[in-house]
Amino acid sequence: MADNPLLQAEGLCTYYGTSQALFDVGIKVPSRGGVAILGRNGAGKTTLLKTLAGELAATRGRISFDGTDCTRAAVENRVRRGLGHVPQEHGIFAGMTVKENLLIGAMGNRTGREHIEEVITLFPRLGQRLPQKAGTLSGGERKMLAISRALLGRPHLLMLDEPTEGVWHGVIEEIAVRLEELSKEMAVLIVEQHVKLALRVSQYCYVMDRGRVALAGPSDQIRDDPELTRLLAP
Amino acid sequence: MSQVSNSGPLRRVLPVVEIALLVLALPLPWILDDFWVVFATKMIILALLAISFDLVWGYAGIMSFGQALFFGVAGYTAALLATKSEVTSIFILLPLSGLVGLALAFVVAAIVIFGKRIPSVVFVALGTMTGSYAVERLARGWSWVGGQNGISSLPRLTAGTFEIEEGIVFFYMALAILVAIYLAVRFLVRSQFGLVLAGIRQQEGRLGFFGYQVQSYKGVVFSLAGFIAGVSGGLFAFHEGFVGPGQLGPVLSTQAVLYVLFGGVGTLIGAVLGVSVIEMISYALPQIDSLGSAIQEFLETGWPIVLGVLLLATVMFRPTGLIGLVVGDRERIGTFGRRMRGADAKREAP
Repeated sequence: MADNPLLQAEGLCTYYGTSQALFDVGIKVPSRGGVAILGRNGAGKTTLLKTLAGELAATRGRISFDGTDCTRAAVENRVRRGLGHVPQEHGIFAGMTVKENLLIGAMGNRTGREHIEEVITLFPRLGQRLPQKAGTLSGGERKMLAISRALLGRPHLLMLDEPTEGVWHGVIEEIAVRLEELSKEMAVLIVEQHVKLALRVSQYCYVMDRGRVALAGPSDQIRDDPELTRLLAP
Repeated sequence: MSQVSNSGPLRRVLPVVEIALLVLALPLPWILDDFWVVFATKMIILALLAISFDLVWGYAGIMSFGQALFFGVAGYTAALLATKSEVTSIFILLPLSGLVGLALAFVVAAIVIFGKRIPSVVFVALGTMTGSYAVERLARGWSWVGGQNGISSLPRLTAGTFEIEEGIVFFYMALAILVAIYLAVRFLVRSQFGLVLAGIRQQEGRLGFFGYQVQSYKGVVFSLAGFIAGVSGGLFAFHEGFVGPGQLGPVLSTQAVLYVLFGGVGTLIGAVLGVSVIEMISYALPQIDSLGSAIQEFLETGWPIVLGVLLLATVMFRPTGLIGLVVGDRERIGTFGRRMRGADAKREAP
C-alpha cells in the first residue's frame, strides 16, 4: 500500500441511531489500482462506503481525501473533490432517458459534457439506448449507466457498491473487464459479494466482520488465506 | 434484453394547445363586452399565480401552500407605495412587486427548504401554509395596512402620463406579461436547469452524488416562483383596485394548487387552462337559472365544496388533469438540454 494514499480513513465509527455499525475502521486507497472490501451480509461494507461518500456521518474518526480532511464535508463537496460513488441500488432516474441520466451526471462537473462520448465507448450498449427510458433497462444496463454516470463527474476515486448484484452472468464479465481497465487509470474501491471478481479487479483487499476490519492484505495473498473462507462463510 | 419502448416519433400536441389558447385569447377584447374583458384579465393575472405554483410543484416537487403569501405581500407593498407615496408608475411597481415576491420567497426557502436534511413534502407544505396564514392574520389586525378592510381605491397604474385602465389596455398588458413569463419559464424548465429540477423531483437525495448543491437549485426555483407570484399580486391589486387580507392567506394559496391540479401538473399550459376553466365554471354555474333557485343559492356560497369534490375526482381518476386528455405522458415529461452532437446524434437517429 502506498505511503501517500488518495483516500485514508482512520478510526471510523458510524451509528444508525444508537446502534453502532462501524468500529474503528481504517482503510487506505492508493491513487491508482483496485481495492476490494469483502464480508458477509451485515458486516458493514455498505455502511463504510456510505460513510466515505458522506451519506452517513462518522461519529468518530477521520477521512482524508487527496490530502484534505473531508470527514465533515457534504456529499456534493466530496464529489467535487473527485470522490465518485455508485450505490447498491444504482440510483438511476427511471423516468428519464439514458441520455438525460448521462447529462445530469455530466452537468455536475462542468467539463463532463465532452466526456459523455468517452464513457459511451466504455459501455457501447448504452450508446444504442440513449433515447430509451432508463427505467426500461435491464439490471446490467442499469449498473453500466450508474457507473458511466459516476465517471462523468471525472472522479479520482470510484467507489462501487455491489456492481454485479442482480446482473446476468454474461454481463458480469463485461463489467469486470471495464473495472479492470478503469483500475489501471484511477482508484477503484469495490464492495462485492462476488469474491472472485473482487479479488481479480483489486490489488489490495479488506475483509470486514461485524463492523470491523478483520483481515487485510494484498489480494493475491488474501485469496489463499484460510481465514478468508472462515470470514465469508454463511 | 430490454427493448426501446418509447421509440417512434413524438406527437407534439402541447405547442398546438399553447398556440390555440393564445389565438383564442388575442381577439377576446374585440368580441366580449367590458365585463367579460375585465373577467378575462383577472384570469390572466391568476394564471401567473398558477404558473408560479406549477413551477415549484410540477417541476421541482416543492409543495408550496404559500404562493398567496408572495402574491399578497407584493400586492400590499405596491398598494402602500401607490397610496402613501403616490408612486403609480408600472415601471417601478411591477418590477418591485416581483422583487418583493422573490425576496420573501428566498426568506421562506431559507426557513423551510434549506438545511442539511431534505425536508419532507409535508413539512414544506405546512411550513408555507403556516407562513401564509400568519401573515394573513397579521394583516387583518394591522390598521396601518387597512386591517380587515385592506387597502381600497387604489389609483390606476401609469406608464408615463398614460393611465392604464381596466379593459382592453390592461387585458393586453397582462396577456403580454403572461406570454413573456410563460415563455421564460418554458425555456427554463426545458433547459439543463429543468433537467436538474426533474432530478430533484424524482430522487432529490441522489443529486448530491453528482456534485449538485440541491438546496441552491431549490432556493433559486422557489425564489423565481416567488417573483412570478409577486408580479401577479402587483397586477391583481391594481386591476381590482383593492388589496385585502384574503389575498395573503391559505385560501388563495390552495386555490392556486387547485388550478394546477385541475389543469394538469408540470405542463405550464395546464395551469393556465385550470384557472380558465375553474374561474369560468365558478362564475357561470350559479348564474344558470334552470338549476333552480335553491341550487343557485347553494352554489353561490357552497361553490368551494363543489370545487373540492371536482378536484378530488380529478386527482383520483385523472391525475394528469385536463391537459392529460390531449397530451401524452412522454410529451408532458418533455426533453431537456441541448441536443448531443456527432456520434450520439447519429445513434439516436431512427
